[in-house]
Amino acid sequence: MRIYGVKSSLGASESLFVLPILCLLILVFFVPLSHVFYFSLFPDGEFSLSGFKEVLSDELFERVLYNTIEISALATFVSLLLGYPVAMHLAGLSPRRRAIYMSMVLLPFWTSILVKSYAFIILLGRAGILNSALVFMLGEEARTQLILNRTGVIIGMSNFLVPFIVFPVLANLLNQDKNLVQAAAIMGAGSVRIWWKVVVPQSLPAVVAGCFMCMVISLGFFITPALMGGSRDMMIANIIDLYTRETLNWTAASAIGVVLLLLSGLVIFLLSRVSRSAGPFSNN
Amino acid sequence: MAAPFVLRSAHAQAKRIYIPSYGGSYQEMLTTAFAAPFTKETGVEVVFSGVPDLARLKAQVRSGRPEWDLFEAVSAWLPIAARENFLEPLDSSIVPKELMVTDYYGLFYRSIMAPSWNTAARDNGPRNFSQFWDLKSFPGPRTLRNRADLSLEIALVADGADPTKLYPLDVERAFASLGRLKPSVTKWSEATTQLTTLVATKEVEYSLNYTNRVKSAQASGMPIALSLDQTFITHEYIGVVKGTPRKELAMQFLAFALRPDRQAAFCELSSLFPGTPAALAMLSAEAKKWLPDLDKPGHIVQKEAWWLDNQEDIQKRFQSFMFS
Repeated sequence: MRIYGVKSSLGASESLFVLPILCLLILVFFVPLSHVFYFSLFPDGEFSLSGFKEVLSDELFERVLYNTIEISALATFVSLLLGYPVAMHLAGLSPRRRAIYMSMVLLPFWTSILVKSYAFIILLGRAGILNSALVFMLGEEARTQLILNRTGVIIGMSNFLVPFIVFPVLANLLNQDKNLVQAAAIMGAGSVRIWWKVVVPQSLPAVVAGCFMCMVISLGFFITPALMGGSRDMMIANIIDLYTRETLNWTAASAIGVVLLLLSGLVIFLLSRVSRSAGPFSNN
Repeated sequence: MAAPFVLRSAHAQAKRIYIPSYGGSYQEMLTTAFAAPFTKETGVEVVFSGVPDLARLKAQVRSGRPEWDLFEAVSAWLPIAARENFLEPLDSSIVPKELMVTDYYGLFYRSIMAPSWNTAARDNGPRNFSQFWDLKSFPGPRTLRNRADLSLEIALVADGADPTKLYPLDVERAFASLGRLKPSVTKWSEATTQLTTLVATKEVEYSLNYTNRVKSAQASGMPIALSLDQTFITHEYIGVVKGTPRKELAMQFLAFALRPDRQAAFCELSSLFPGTPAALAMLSAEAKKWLPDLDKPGHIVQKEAWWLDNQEDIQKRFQSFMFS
């Protein structure tokens, strides 16, 4: 498998360097995860699918699952629309300026999501800066609800996800063979045509890689829908929270966790297959 | 004779007990009113660690090595913890019997929830729950917590039910009442702080908020007010965690925390309603300003016992209700 130009087939001596992180992951990731699997399948020490039955027959869960997929896909799409042009712009800059601009891409990423949510209220809220300006210019009917609804969730999530599109796409654009663009120009192609026929197809594997990272991250979002969304923007993680902390039903919570994990696994599987076969230049 | 005594007190110096807390100014108040004076009196250090969370308590008790020695939490969590066998029975030789609510926990304080509004946006807000439900007199968006156990009783009283005869709750009537309010509820707040911040930023016009939150928001200059004419009273209980190796110290702290003078000191700082009745007589006039007059009719006192068996199903229904 190839993700934006890094070959993943390692030699034996190279895999040795992976060992420390592998041990760490087994300890802090695999062990707790097996507990989650255990809780979901052995509610009282005995094998039972009751947790899964309970969850899968729950109408609320079904609607929230659908909701989660919809929100994740939309947030990923918006992030792609916003992130791709940024990556293109960054690719055209001198390395020194690019470094400065890249840190600007990362700045929101380093800021606490709680702080950002509060900042978004000040910017986008009913009495926020943007709405005050709209009302001042166009009158009271111009006031728009931008947070505490779906728009708010998408704004909040994209704000977090854009770097996950920008960096793979940027790495890809920088690695693209400049001769191909030159050749296309010599053959008389215009800049839009070069972009669409030469640059975009080559960048597809990175786009796909970025999108599946966004998608997988989105599926587990918790704080942003809680703070920026309305009540209809509940996502799976919020339901897990309900079962874990409020009703103490860990069997159901674990079952939902397993479903979420399988869903993420499915997304990764599907998109890695797409990325393998994406674009005529992907197997160099 | 002196030597063993010195040894024992030196040993006590190293002793610590662990309690979860909500952090921030709340934790500072706990330190001033309870932890620091307890350390002074007994030499036992009180360490605050983590946020009260029933799931964490469950995990700790299951593991057999609890991190916390005491547990204090809002509404039904302590009754649930007692039922699930996460708590030690209180030792009546240390904790006075009259301070025990049940054999497993005492009343740490009461939280008071009441209608609040932004004073920069309007002079007067809803003064009781039926006014809070009155969309004609008080139009505009509002926020409530996203919890059934902080909404259903209020919804019933707003609909005209007698606050003294609420239990068992008429769940259908409560949801019908909430359904009428729902179009103006732009946010079912996920966190208690949102009840303050959404009003302060004029995102909503009104919220059902806590007296202590409004008091500290006012102290930091936020234009927010609250009416004590009619309030919803929930209980914060405190108990000792099952299996703690420092059971006796934990019992001592619990008895200390429920002492009238400590309760009064905490109320002066926090304006949370004292759990121990004798503390009321010790309060300053300033502290009393933030306490509702419970002798007047109309206040709702929550019965957690009813929620014990109903919370899971009703909270799920509440989630569906908010979602649709």
